[in-house]
Amino acid sequence: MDFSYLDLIPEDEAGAAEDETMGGAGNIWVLGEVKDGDLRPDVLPLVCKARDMADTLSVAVFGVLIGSGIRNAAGELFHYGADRVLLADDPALAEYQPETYTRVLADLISAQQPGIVLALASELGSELVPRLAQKLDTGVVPYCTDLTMDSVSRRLVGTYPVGDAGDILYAAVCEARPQLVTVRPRALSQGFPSPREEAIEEVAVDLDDTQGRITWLGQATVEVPEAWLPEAAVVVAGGRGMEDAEGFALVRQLADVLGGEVAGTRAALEAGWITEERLIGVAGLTVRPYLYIACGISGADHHLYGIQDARFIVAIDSNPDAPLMKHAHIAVVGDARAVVSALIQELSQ
Amino acid sequence: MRVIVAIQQVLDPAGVLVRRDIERVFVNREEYIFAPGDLNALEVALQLKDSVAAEIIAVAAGSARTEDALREALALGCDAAYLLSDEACIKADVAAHARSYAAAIDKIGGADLVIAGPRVGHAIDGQIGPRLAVLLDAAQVTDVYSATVIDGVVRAARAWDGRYVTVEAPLPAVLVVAEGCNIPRLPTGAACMNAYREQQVTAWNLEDLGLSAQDCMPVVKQEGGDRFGRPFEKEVISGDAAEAAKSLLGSLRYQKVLHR
Repeated sequence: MDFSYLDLIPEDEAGAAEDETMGGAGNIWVLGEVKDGDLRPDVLPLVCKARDMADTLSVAVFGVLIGSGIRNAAGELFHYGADRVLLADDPALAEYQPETYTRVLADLISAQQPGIVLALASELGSELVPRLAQKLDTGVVPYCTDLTMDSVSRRLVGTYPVGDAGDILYAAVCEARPQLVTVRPRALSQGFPSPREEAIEEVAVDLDDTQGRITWLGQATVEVPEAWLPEAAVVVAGGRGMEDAEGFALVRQLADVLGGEVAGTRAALEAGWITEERLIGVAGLTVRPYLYIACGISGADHHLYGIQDARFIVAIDSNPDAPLMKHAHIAVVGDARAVVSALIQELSQ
Repeated sequence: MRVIVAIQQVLDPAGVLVRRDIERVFVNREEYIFAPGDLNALEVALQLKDSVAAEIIAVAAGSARTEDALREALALGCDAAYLLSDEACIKADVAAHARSYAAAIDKIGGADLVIAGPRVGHAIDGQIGPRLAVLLDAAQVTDVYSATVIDGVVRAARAWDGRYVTVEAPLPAVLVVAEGCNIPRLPTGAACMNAYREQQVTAWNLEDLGLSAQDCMPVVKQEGGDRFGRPFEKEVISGDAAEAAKSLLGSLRYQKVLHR
């Protein structure tokens, strides 16, 4: 075959264009989060997405892990498509400190010049990434729910919700390099594994005189509700239609399977199935989840008040004329107990 | 102890109607209100003032209308208010805002504690606090639900891994509060009148802060106009429970509400 046309491509020009758009190496990094030695599962969709984008741009995907005793967490990153994992494993990094973590990451990024850094908009990501941006003098596209790669200009367009109910979307681009992006947990769908060979690069940690200033007061927790209900992304609520405590246990189970929080109506409270801090409505809490599933709830006005900010409402009830069934985006007509247990079965497969 | 609260104004969501089906936003009543998260931040500061001797200063970046928010802050019990406003900064992004807040805090004479809200404008963002912590070289605690100061150390209850955890940080420190972490107090009528009649809001422009228009160039730029999620269409599913469950999950996946 004749490959002589390849000589016609001016070499420096191609190289220069690459440098200009992707800032040198230009790889895509994914910041992993490790809890008790295991990788946080929400990170995997980011790796899959990074793999897709890297294939479009012909660059590599690097996973970055920071902490102490975290080597085992790297395996999963390779399984989902990371070409290499940068491992900053040091006893000094055992405890999260904004100062030290920023220092390690900023040094790594300055040395290796990635084009894009993806992180989870978790408690850690949403305070660490802006610090990095300030240190590196670049910008963050925050809290994205979708990422698209413009393969011509090689820019990452992040879409994030704005407005009180989050129903307007902005698409934004970070013009400086590296492009820092935080992604809302559970916003991206899980892709398929794309296993690579393990290539762990241990990074020397040199903290110099950087010291953390935060004192974590042990594991001391202050009267903890499991999660703060108004902030939950998924809320599953049950009402009188669940009939008895056994029926309500199904609601709890569905919430567990979906990774959401359980709540209830006044009827559920009076029956003793929930406590007062899980009551939704005028007398209780107002929730604003992404997905709200109402099981056996007719939807009196004082309950509807509590869910007016919910993005997507699913109602399961036997009465198709109930107010909540009219209000919902998807109304499932049928016996709530039967449908909920079918849902649990379907989801646990 | 000097506490500085960074505040902003946002468009009142009650006056805005979003129609996903025709992809338009109708602003029926253009009214700007004190950003709700920033009210929570101010409340944390005011609660500190209730327990220890503290001077609370409100600083706001934004256009001239932001003065109303500062007057409200004065009515609620702030000791002084500064407005950072400049024509050149209209398109400023969060990095530029952070730079002007930091410059203002320096000009005021530093702060022991800076408290910020979790949002910038309408986006869930929370960048102001961490950026300020770097610029001011201060300790940083985010997702704060409550805070107290004892002997030059701030002790805060924060969310971490879905639990409340108590942390301590030395002053100076930057706190970012969690939205809805407290119920903000209301000003009295007399205090509101006083805020407009007697108290002053100091306005500073870029020159006063020693910044140039170059510092306000945004790095993150919006692409195109507003976009909208797929309009949700009402759907009624009936029939056998197992079948209904299957088609419900199918619809949720199609609407991108469920990802598995």
